[in-house]
Amino acid sequence: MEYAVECRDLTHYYGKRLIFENMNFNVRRGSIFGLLGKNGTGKTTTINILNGFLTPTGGQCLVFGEDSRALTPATKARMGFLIEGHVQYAFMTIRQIEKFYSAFFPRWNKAPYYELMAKLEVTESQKLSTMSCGQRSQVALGLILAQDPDLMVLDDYSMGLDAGYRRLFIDYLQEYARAEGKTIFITSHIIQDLDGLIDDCVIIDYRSVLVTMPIRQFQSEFKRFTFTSSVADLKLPKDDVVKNTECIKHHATLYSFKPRQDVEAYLRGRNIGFEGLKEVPMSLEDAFIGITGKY
Amino acid sequence: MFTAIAFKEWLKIRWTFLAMVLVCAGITVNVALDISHLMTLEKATSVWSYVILMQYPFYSSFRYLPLLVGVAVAVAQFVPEVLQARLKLALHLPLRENRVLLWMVTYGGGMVLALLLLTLLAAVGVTIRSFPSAVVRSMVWTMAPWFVAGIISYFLTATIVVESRWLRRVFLILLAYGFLDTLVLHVAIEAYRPSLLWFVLLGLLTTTGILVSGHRFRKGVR
Repeated sequence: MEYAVECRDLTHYYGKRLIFENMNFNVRRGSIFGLLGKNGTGKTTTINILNGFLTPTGGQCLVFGEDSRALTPATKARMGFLIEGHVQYAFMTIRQIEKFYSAFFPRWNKAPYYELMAKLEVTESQKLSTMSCGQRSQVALGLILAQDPDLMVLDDYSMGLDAGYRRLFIDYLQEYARAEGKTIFITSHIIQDLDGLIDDCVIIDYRSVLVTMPIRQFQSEFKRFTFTSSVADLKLPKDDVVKNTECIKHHATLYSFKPRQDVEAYLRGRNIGFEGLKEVPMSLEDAFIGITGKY
Repeated sequence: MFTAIAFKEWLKIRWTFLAMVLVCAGITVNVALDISHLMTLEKATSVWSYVILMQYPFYSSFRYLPLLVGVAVAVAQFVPEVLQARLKLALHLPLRENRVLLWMVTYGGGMVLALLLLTLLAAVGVTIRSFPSAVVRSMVWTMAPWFVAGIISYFLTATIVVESRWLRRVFLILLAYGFLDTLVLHVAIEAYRPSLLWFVLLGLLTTTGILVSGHRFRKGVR
């Protein structure tokens, strides 16, 4: 089986409110897959469906070939799950929580957990409830690493973390995943952290899927053009060429998957005068904002 | 694996449980002192006749105790699970979801049952020294519905706490109130003796109530 996760025509409504419709994506085994979207676009909803904590209105999600609505214990043992906000049993101590989880997972290896704990200024008898958000995030990550799952599902790991803890989390995760050939399904609202981490991505917006492709392809094909427009506050409809536009007075920015000559032809075809059109390089975060918009 | 679940549940309920042990012990000691006080001030025969003929329920302070124990233990056990949807952690363990939930209530219900049985035994112990066995038997039959209500209140509270919709929660609270109130409404001597078995059987249905609310939680019903 080539894919760890397959989502087919996934559709979900909360009441009458459409969250997304006909979302399709596959997560290759051994890859790091990013589910990117602004707040409220359905990232956690997708993760809940993936873990069997929500029944989709339509479509289905397969995890290791098994319908996520009825995951077997064997499949759950292969999935590590980080709940948004690094939720764990706050009433347990570092040692107690490790002991607790070790009873359930046949491949449990406490070494990476305690290795990570050694980096924190905490004692083994310290309760999770007395730790900072950053420290709790490392506990949650350490437990997932000790579980040694084939698939890690991480819901907004960056929530509440400062830059140092985010970096520590990503460094550990990346090192572990690449060395062990693990599959990771990750969401984050801090896109810049995922630059250089993820292999494939799906970018979702309110009610729709904007992009599903390898991240390198997205970064190489999605372009930002700036120019001085003859039309003030230029606003163009989204279509095959234009994915988004921003314009402050005459200073226009246009985002597109098309090459420069197509964009020039597009503007000429609509009698929009332009001067100094140039392609401007983008970071992943720039590209994300470019395709989803600032609002 | 059950041991691990039991360990987790114990960590959640231990302080509440120990507090309930103290409350149960306190009330039992209080009843014992009351009996001793009566026996010292009055002749034993007067006290006996007062208890037997006037049907004086010297043990009425036990009336709401089992309810308190059941509700307190269930709240201590399941409120931490629903805060931040922490129950997802347990349901994501590599076990059947129903098994996890049943193990959780088996442990909690077992602890409540053990404490209530010990309290009942202690009540029998302090009574049997001063009263004939017929009075003690009558006391047990009179208190039995209160203790059954205590066990049922544990399972109903667990079901209500795990339920994710407030409207449904309110409905369940009203239902639980009606059912439990029937069992603790009166301090009538042996009033429930003929019907207690039916209440127990009806109460057994509540032990699996958490499977329904747990299923709804797992399916994302909000």
